[in-house]
Amino acid sequence: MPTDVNVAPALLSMRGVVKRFGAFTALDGVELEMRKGERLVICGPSGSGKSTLIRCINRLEEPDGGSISIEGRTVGRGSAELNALRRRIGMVFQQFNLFPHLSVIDNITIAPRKLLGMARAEAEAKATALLERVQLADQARKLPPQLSGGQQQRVAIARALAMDPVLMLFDEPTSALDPEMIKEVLDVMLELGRQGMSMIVVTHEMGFARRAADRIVFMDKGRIVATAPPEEFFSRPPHPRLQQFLDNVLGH
Amino acid sequence: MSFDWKAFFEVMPQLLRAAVVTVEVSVLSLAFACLVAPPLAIARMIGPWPVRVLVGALVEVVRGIPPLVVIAFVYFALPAIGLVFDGFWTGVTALTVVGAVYAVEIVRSSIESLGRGQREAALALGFPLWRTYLELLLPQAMKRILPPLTNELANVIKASALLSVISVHEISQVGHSLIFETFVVVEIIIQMAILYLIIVGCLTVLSRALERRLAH
Repeated sequence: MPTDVNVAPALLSMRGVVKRFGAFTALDGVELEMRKGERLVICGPSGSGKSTLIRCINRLEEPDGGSISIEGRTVGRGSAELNALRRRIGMVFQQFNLFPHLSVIDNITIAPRKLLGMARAEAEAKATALLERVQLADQARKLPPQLSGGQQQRVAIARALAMDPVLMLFDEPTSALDPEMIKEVLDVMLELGRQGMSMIVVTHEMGFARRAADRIVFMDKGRIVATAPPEEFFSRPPHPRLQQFLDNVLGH
Repeated sequence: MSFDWKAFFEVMPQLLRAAVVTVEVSVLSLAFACLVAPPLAIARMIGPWPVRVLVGALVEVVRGIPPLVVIAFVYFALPAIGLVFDGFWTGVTALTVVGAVYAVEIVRSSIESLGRGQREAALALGFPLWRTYLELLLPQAMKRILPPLTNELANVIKASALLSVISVHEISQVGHSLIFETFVVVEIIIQMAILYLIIVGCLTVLSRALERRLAH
């Protein structure tokens, strides 16, 4: 059920967001609007600020300037507010970051149980349904190190979904995977997008961007230099630096 | 010179009673140390800065002075602030402090070696910072904590011998008294050594069993 993004309410609004690491400016006045149900892909050369951008959204990085609002609300620096914000935003990391001492099902149920007070039975029923969605129903009792990278990343997606997020952030989710496992992860993400999940995906997978994105955002040197729907993005690159990037990425 | 088995068995009841005291002091000190170390370690990592400084200072000071001095300090300092313990509880307090500061450093370094990805994953799910450390990072670090911690706890058990200076009737104190009473030296020292080996051995066995349980 694709959402009509033009009438959907604003989900995320970033205004003049600045992030510095010492003398290095990682984000240099980022402006970004996103509506509910929208699927954004962020691409750009390394060091362009893609990861920093999405890490500022759930405040794993604290921006040095500008404002970020989610569903119309700006979130302050207080830790209670911050934790409430993070519960509504799912994140998937390049290195999966599953909890290695917990079984697959415990990885998925720990946050709903401990943070939302969900009963074990209910949390496990939900986790089982999520595992079916990522095609791993038979792996529930295994420990993460016993799974392949692709399987671990799909568990990580299920873990994030268990909190019923309004927005999913993917930070280069396939960059640490063998080529054969990339597809199984991208398929899950593609399906998630089809079901109407709002998502921001930082990736170099241009095929995925072409198929899954409503808009593709191109970053360079801490700024968003171009934003366009996939078709336009690839056929009429709206920025010279993007043309060069695409030549490099798609060149072989 | 032959080994005097008769003397060996004659002193045994008294040394066994002393061993019970050593075990009591050790078990209590180790239990308290293990109980306070994780919260102190977490406070040292992510507490408000005055707490971090305070815990850090305590760790550095206690690590920098001999356990004997810690024992003497507790023995004389606590009465000065109105807390009067007998030798036994003075000993438990001092050894708890000694054990705890080493345990704090072991817990801290083990958690820090986990890498930032684990911490970020928990935070991104919405876990408050302190719960991230207590409920996700600490359990995960247990496997790394246990071997060095066992070493340190064994040292604390051996340091209980120092409590003889404040007249706690543990193995070393009773052993030395017996030597001066009976002039039986080698037999008593060997028996003392055996008793310490058994006590420390129990700790090692316990720790290995725990390690195996954590391994899977």
